[in-house]
Amino acid sequence: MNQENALVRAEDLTRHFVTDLGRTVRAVDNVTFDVLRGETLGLVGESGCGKTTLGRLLCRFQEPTRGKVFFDGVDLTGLGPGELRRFRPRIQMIFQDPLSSLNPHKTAEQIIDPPLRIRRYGTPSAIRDRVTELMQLVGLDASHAPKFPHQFSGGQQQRIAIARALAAQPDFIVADEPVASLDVSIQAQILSLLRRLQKQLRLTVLFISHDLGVVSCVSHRIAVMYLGRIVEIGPAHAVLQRPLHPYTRALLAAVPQIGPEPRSERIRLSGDPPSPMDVPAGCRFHTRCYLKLTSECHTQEPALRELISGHRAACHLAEPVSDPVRYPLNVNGPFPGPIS
Amino acid sequence: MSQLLLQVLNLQTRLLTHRGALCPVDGVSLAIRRGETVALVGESGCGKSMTALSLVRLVPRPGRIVSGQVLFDGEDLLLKPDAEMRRIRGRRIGMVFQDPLSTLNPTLRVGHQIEESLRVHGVARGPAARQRSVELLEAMGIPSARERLQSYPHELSGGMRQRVMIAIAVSCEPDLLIADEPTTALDVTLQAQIMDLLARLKAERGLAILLITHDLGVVSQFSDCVAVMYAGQIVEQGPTADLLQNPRHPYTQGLLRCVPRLGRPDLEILPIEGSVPDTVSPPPGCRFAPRCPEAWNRCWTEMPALRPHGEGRTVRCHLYAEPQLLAGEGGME
Amino acid sequence: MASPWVEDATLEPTPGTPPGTLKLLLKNRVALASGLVLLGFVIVALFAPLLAPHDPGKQHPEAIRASPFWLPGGDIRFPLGADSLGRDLLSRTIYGARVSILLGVVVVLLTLVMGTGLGMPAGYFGGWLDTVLSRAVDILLAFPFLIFALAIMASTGPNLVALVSALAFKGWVDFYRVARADTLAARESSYVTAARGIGASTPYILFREILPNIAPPLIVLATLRMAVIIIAEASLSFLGIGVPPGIPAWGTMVADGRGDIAGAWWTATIPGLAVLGLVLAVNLFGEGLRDALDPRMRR
Repeated sequence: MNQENALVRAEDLTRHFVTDLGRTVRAVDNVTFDVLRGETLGLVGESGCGKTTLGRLLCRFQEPTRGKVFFDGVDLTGLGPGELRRFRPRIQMIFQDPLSSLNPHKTAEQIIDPPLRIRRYGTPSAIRDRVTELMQLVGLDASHAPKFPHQFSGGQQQRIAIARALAAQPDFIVADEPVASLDVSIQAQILSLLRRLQKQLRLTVLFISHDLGVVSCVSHRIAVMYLGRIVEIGPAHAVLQRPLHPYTRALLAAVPQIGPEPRSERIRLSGDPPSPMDVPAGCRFHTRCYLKLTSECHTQEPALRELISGHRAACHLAEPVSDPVRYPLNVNGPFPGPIS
Repeated sequence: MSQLLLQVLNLQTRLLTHRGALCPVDGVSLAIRRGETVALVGESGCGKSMTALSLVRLVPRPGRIVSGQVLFDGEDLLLKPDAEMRRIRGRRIGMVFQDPLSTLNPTLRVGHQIEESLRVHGVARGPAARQRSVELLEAMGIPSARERLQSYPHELSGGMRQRVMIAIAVSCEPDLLIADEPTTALDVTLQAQIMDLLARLKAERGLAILLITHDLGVVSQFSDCVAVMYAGQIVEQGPTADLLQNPRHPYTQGLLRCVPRLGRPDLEILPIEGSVPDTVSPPPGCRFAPRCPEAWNRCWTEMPALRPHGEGRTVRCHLYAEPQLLAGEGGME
Repeated sequence: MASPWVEDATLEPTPGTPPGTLKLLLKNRVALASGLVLLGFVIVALFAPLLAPHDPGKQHPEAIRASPFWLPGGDIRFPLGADSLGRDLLSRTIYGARVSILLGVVVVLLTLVMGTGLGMPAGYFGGWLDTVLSRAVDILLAFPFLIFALAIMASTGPNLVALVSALAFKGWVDFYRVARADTLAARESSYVTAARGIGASTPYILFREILPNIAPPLIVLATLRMAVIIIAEASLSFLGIGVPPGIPAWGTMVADGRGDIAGAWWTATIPGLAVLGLVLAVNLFGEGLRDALDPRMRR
């Protein structure tokens, strides 16, 4: 992987918590990957897989137990709070629940302008103009600037959060489930917006979500997480159509699709996912894996290895797949399709 | 015994707020046959949950059912005395809600809650009830069922809690199961398991299901018929495969266009533009008109009625009232 | 309330800029009424010399235990009657308002600043600061208020500064707890994380992000504490260890009138009602203030 091309690099990133009862929660366990300049990397996984923690580690909202985070070649983990603060505007986060990510006692304008004021962007009227510009950029009517968050709808609140992030002029945005709490049609609007902004402003985005469908339409590459580790990473179309890891295949099989069944494979995982406090020995997925396990699966943690160019998976049994997953496609009807 | 298990006719539920009267359920009509799964789909606030609550008369204050009929096996539930409704709820109509953590009593053991349902409806008590509970949990696919009975809800995982909820709901062998967003709070692999469970129950027990959801994928994989709701009204209805393949109402079309498809990541997702009607004083015409790309003069002034259009399909749209409009001659008035 | 319906960016959010705190307060009738009553007490306290018909300390031998004017034997010159030393009850009640309100305000402000000033850092930084302070608070809470107040007042003799200290000694604990808990919660919220993400400094976060959010419950607590302080002062004065004897205070008046409950009942009851009225007004106003301060209530 071309090191210069990576804007963000995580190296052996680990975050363990110790609970009051003395149990260790292995939220993120030795994760190494890159986010390339200008790309959207989709990070997918179910609850408890550590994707939110990973996002926070990259933004340095949490300290890693071990490992490093590099931003634009600089080791962020080694920096003190003062130096770190200089990097902060370049890495921004968008949160899942827009209402709680906005200070309820501040107006939209007061929420968007702090990054400008902290940077000493200019005179108050220059700042106000910039706020107007940003609001328009995210599709909000600038006349609503003096309103409070609870007066806006969920989609509009998320737009305010996006405007705030953009005010800092970031290079890298971590979007942590930005559309999870929104309705489908609003979700589509925000995803469209994010796609447009990314292209327009040449942003690098880490898009965290549990929803494969959502991730599939914004990401250039996709990484799949399970129980604190990345189990597969590669170009979006490759991961979606020729998944290497059995967990990825199971995830894809579980997403209900619109259209007639059957798909090429029907996989159901049994049982509940293990807790990050009780990570299984060997391959952490082996307790739910539907493939025929070998002794290696029970004893050795598989490394993330490159099976096809640019496409890696952490599985002892994975092989490059020749026949792709088939999704139900409406060959007869006009749907789905853009309005002509 | 008629095939028609549930027939809802023109149900209207009103909510009195300080801003005025809201009508979250505004003239909804539905039909569910024995053993059939009907999905009620729409986005948040369209009134689908309120419809489900209205069917079993559990509308919370300040809401009130103001008109309509809910014929369950021929008898109007809205006319029944409270005592009889209580006997029907749980016994003949089971309910599963979205968040099992808040619908299960956190201070009672799980076994107790299942047995309570059996006891209240006179199905079984004592050791017989305990045996039934074990069998139910096993049927739900919960391992070590007998030990699990002693657990408290918070000791169980999300997926297991939902299975317990379903166990309670089907414990008295109801004819109809109302499931309000049963898998929304669960991860996708768990969702698949739960939906499989419901499918199995449907096949084994001939259970009719009213499935409330916002997820079109779930609708597609699971239901026989679907009704699409918008702003308190049903705007389109019909057999699932046909409706999703050939949506008629512009809202349904818009929804289908904006759902991301795994198989087609290249597809442009197209948001629905426009604004939403104020529920207190909705505009006089079609409620979707402000957002409809095909709206024309009549749409703004006259509310379209839900009319049949094709095999088992109904649509609430002026475009389908006048056949010549489909040929693209609209807006010429 | 944001519309629960599916929406678009161009939809009008709830129209208008929300009404300010004052306007909301005015709309709440109970808050308005109690606010006016409170204002009345304050005005009476401020303009006591102009409003009181007599010198509160002056004894009128002819009016010893005089009845209020509406009872037989009453004299309009002493509208609410007089006490066992012939001092005009109305004047003493009016002057008593000064003590109660002044002490209430001073003590509450002191404890508010102290409690918040210690609670916010404890909640935000945690660690040893939090541990030390919280243990100190626990120890403090173990002291029974009355015994402590007795100890202070007995050792220094009756004087106002000592009284304020006694009242403030444990009073800051409630503010500390609320400020600490709310700051702790706010620290974990997404909007504070977002502020850190922008590169905001810690003082900025504490004062510009967190403080406005924890202020409403603290303000309400302040009004409730004021009521408590007023009663505490009255109790101490009643016991004779409160306000120095020369200064008219409602608590002292109730104590003085205790012996006359059967006969000249007004000498104890009138000041008692004054305490009741002030405390009630303060409480109700405080609740109205809390509702008005919450931006979510601004429709």
